Amino acid sequence: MRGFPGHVDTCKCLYMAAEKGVKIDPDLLDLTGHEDEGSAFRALSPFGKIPCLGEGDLVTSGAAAILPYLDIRGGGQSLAPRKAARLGQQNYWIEVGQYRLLPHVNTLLDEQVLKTMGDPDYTPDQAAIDAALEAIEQVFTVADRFLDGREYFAEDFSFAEIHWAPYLHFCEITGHGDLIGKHANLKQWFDRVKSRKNGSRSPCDALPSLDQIKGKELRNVA
Amino acid sequence: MSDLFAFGRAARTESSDASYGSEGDMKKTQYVLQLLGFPGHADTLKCLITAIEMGMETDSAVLDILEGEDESGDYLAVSPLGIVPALKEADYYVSGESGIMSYIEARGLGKRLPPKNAALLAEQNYWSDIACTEVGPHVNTLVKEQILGPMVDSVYMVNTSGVEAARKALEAPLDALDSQLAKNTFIIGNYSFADIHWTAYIHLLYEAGEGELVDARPNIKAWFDRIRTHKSFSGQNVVAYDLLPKLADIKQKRLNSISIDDY
Repeated sequence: MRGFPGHVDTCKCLYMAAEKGVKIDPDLLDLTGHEDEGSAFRALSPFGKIPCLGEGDLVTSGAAAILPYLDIRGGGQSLAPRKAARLGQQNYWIEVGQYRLLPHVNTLLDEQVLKTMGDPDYTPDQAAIDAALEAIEQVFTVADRFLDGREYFAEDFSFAEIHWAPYLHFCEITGHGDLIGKHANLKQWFDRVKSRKNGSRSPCDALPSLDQIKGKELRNVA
Repeated sequence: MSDLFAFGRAARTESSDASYGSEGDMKKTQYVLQLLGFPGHADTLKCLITAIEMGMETDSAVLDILEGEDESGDYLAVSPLGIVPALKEADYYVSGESGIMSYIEARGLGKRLPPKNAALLAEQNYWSDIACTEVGPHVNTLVKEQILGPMVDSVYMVNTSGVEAARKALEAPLDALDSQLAKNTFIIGNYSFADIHWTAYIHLLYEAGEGELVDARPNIKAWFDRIRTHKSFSGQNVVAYDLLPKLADIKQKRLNSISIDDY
């Protein structure tokens, strides 16, 4: 899999692989060096979707395609709920995350981590950060209300957790853990997700630390 | 709120709940779905197509997004982040294309739409993702500039550079789909969610007067000709295309309901 540790969708795929016990051999796609715009990568991923996964003859790209592939490849019970109502809830929250959270989490990552990696003299755009935080806060408030009395978004652990845990993780490592802490239900949900074990390991450990992002370090998931 | 159609333009809609079963007819679906959306809104169309393909009776009503009804307190009580469309069945509510399409599919009749094979599932989702991210925003621009803008303002000035940019941006994903369809009857071989996503966008391109973009690509054109006569995936004698809102429906803010007669 080619991806980047400071890229949210790459991290969702690593997290899914860890959750489902799929061995992933990751290869760095250096977004700070614009490798995703090069012709070699575009030959694999014509629209620049990241990450890109290959197995045998299969090459596909983007979290939307890779996550369900890993879910099935990992065997065992699918993370997708069977009941229609839970499936609907799962996908509603995935859509909320994709369109109402991801752009703002990306702003935090760009302004506070990635741009300074490319240019040490870069001054983060505080107005953009503040706007992103405000937008995230609005969505967290709604999610917190929904999670009152619920363990997970779709009753059981599902794809919704695979999407949302990286959003909260990146808020935390960019120094905005207070956004989570002030929403008790959301915080309990995040603690619950982080404490899940697959064997002796927590799949959440597949999510990169700030130092790993700055060191452009993509770890193997086994 | 007990009825999704209790406010705004939708309040003028007659619900089939009142007449449901009044003639002693038994239907396989326990409840009729309520879909609240807008005829010029791609995500609403996707949900309508899914309901037809899965043989789910649906009462549709218009959420007038041109009048800001999606930002009203009544709608936010149903969909707290204002995501359109919204669906109700009995006491279950969900909003947004992804939640609604998957809910209807799982509730629907007959075999399941998503492939069980991992590689095919990934391919379905890849093409759905390309539709949503590489095509949707530009189709929305064309629909806004050429249909919705003039509906709101009779002297609306079309942003011609925006229209040109949208047309240009659509070339690459349409070329990619045309290549993909050179070898397949439907986008990944069998009919799937990918066809539903693309049907909504291609249909809106035609209604926005941009059919040339499609007609110039023979494999997409041939695929859409098949879509136009495609009977429901669940085997009912209904064609989704026939119930999609045409330009006059969009301008009149009309959305078809779905009635299934051949259980």
